[in-house]
Amino acid sequence: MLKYVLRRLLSSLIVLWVATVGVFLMVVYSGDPLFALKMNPTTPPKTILIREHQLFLDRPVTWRYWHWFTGVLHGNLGLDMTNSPVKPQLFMHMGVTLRMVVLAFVLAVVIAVSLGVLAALKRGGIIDRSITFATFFFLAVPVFVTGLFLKLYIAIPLDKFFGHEVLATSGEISPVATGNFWQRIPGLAAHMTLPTITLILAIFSSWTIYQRSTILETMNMDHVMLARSKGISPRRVLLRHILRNALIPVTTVIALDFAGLLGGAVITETVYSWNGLGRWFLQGANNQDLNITLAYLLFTAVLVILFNLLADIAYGLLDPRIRYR
Amino acid sequence: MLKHKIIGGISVAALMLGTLAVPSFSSGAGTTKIVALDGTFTGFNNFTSAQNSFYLAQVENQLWPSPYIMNQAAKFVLDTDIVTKAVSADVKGQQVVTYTINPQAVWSDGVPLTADDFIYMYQASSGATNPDGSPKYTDIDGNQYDVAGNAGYNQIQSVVGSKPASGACAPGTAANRNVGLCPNGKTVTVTFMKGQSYAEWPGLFGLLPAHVARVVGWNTGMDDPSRATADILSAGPYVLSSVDMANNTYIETKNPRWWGTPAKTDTLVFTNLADDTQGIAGLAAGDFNVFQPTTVSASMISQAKSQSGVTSSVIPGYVFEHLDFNFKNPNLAKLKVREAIALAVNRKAIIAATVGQVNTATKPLDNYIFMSNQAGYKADGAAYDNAGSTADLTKAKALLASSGYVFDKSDSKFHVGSASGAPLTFQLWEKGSSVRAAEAQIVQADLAKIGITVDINVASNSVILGTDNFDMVIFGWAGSPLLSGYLNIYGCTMTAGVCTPNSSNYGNLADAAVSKVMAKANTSLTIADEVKGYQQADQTLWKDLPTLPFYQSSQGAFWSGVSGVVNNPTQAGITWNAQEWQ
Repeated sequence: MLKYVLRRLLSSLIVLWVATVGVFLMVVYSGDPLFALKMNPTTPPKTILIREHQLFLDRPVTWRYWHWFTGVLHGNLGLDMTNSPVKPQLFMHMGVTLRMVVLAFVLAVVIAVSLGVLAALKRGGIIDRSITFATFFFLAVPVFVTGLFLKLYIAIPLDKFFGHEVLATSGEISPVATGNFWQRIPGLAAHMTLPTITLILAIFSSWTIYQRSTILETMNMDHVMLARSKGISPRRVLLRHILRNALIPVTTVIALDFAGLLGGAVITETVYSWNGLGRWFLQGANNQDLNITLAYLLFTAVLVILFNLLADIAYGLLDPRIRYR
Repeated sequence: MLKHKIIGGISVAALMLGTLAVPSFSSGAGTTKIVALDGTFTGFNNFTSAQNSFYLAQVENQLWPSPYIMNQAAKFVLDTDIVTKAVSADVKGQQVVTYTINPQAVWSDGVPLTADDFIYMYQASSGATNPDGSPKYTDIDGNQYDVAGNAGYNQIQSVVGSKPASGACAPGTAANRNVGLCPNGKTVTVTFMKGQSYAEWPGLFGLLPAHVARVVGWNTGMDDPSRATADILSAGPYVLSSVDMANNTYIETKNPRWWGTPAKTDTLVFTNLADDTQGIAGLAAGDFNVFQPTTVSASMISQAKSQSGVTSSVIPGYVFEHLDFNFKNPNLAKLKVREAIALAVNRKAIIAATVGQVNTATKPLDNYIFMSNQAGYKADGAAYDNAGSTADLTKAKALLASSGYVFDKSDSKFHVGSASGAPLTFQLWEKGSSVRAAEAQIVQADLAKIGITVDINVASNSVILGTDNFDMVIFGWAGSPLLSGYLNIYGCTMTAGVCTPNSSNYGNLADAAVSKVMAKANTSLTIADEVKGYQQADQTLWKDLPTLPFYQSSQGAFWSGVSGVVNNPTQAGITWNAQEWQ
């Protein structure tokens, strides 16, 4: 097992290194990061020279990559275009995104597994068909459509109807919120509701469909038939013999999706004006901010690798038949 | 069982994480107006090139003072709360400006506003050098000052204080480089170099608290968000009372030491707007009261109209769209070719397809320097207003024919040299936005009518501009009511008898005469003289046709649940008069 993990880690590091080189070159050759400054005809030429020196634009590309790479090895992600350290910004925006994503993720897992099981057990019936319809519907609807619909046609009319904010549509907390933590809880809940629902609707569908099919597949396996013929109660068969086995492949998918979700909540963040990682990355990319773009890449890539690895390990733990070499 | 407990624990932790980790805010009691902040920043010294942004300026408009405010008509208005009097005079061939600081003016920590605030701003911004070329003034760490702009400051000879409140001038210190400059003075005398008058002097001396900056540093000393409420002192109606970078939210409450007319609203809140397309919905939902998008769109206007209580203001802005010609291309270097293009490109059709959908009053921009709503504007380019008409197309073809190009009826194209020569073709670049794509396609279609082939290429402006790898490029200049910057856009600098295009002169126009006129205007004593000089320059530029201006973009602003908001199209932005909002 340890050998397997180490081998996977090593190959992941190589992939990561190649990715950083690729992104580095893409950003470096995507334009002049000081363009906006140069477009201002009143910017002193000396200022441009100073900034070029500060951003190492006067150095060879290979030197710049090596400088960044060695910095990362020492835990330093460098400075952004405004001379502000990137690492604290990464953690700050990650905190915002995590606050949006974690709750949605947990609820989506619970909903997806529950609906998947229900649909499989009621296969072919009205419940199964309804769940299947709903999952395919939400799978097809882009997340920004869901977000905007909830915002424009649910939240705003509801707030207007009640004359005060029931469902907040912007930010993670009201900027004029007062009081202690407990007094602010209703406000926090009002701000978390819509982004959480939007994210759940965006991610639960594929998991539900997958869960349904794995349950159906497992239900027809020999060991399940045997368990049933032994007279074990249906509940016990479901929980011990079907669900446990059916959860294994779903775990992998869910673990991988969480990494993607952290990096990809950008649309939900945009619709609901959360100042999270997605927006930070977009602004960085638009400004050709090399260190922000690379930090984001590093973060999401490490997450994907980590969750991939965790999924593999979980696979082994959940299914004793799986052995790693 | 253990697994269930673990899963349960993770679920509870996830539920709690969403709420526990959220930072807290505390706004003042009373009336509050919320402004959408559609951009972020990481530090607070807006005078540095690293931090300079329109968004930060919106937050600091009510904090950091300046002797003059630029109003919605782009006119400088003396802020008598800061400076009771400001006089410019010619003293023996040198411009001397004398500011009389309001005796009541104090920073929010109680330290009086003095000449030292002006002296420090000059030291940081002038870019003055010692005889050996080293910087005369440096930041506390010995590094050069990073400044967003030094126009005007680089023409100043000295800044000296006088008439201190206490009666005696403070000696100053060597560390502060203000020995003998009467830093505690309440009158400031600014002397410009001989022959280097600066008509736009009212735009100088946006101020920050020198007594803080001298300690923490200019370049990065004011970037620490945890110290912002202490370091970003105010000499305006509001003080910065809360900073939350994670939520891009900033709160300003009334300045208890403010000596002027009190602000009409108790608390100003600047809060995050991740995307301008969500702005009108945010107003409708009551998430904020004031929203000024970076670029206004037709959909924003129609959305605003459909929402009761939302007020819209769409006025001509200072960003103007144009087609840039590269003089390095031998065909475009010919004036007749540029004239033919100007006669063929239907600017009204371009407007109808783009900005006209936002503001139907938009007309072709007939001036290189002045915007149509700016004092000094003259329609010098009116000859091209009906470009694309049959008469103009005929004239354009005649111009090309007289330049030696040969029209081949078989392919309806002009050819270089002879009918068998290469078709007259230009590479047109645009950045790929829907607006630019529409503009490029119209240019392409219009020029095809006079036998010119245009290939459209897409690339970021930052890739194309500054290189000579283009024949024509469409982009927007963020113009300014301050004229002196135009020398860098259209001018060149004489070096060893050769006129080398200035850094923002991407098309490489090298007209020494027009540069001389603009350079002279930049050293005018009065704005009237400067305007006269630039008006003369504009007439010459229309003879040169270095670019073809299309139109002025529109500046939009929307608000709800607040009165007193006035859309200001200049860099001052929407919060320029926030103290009047109620």
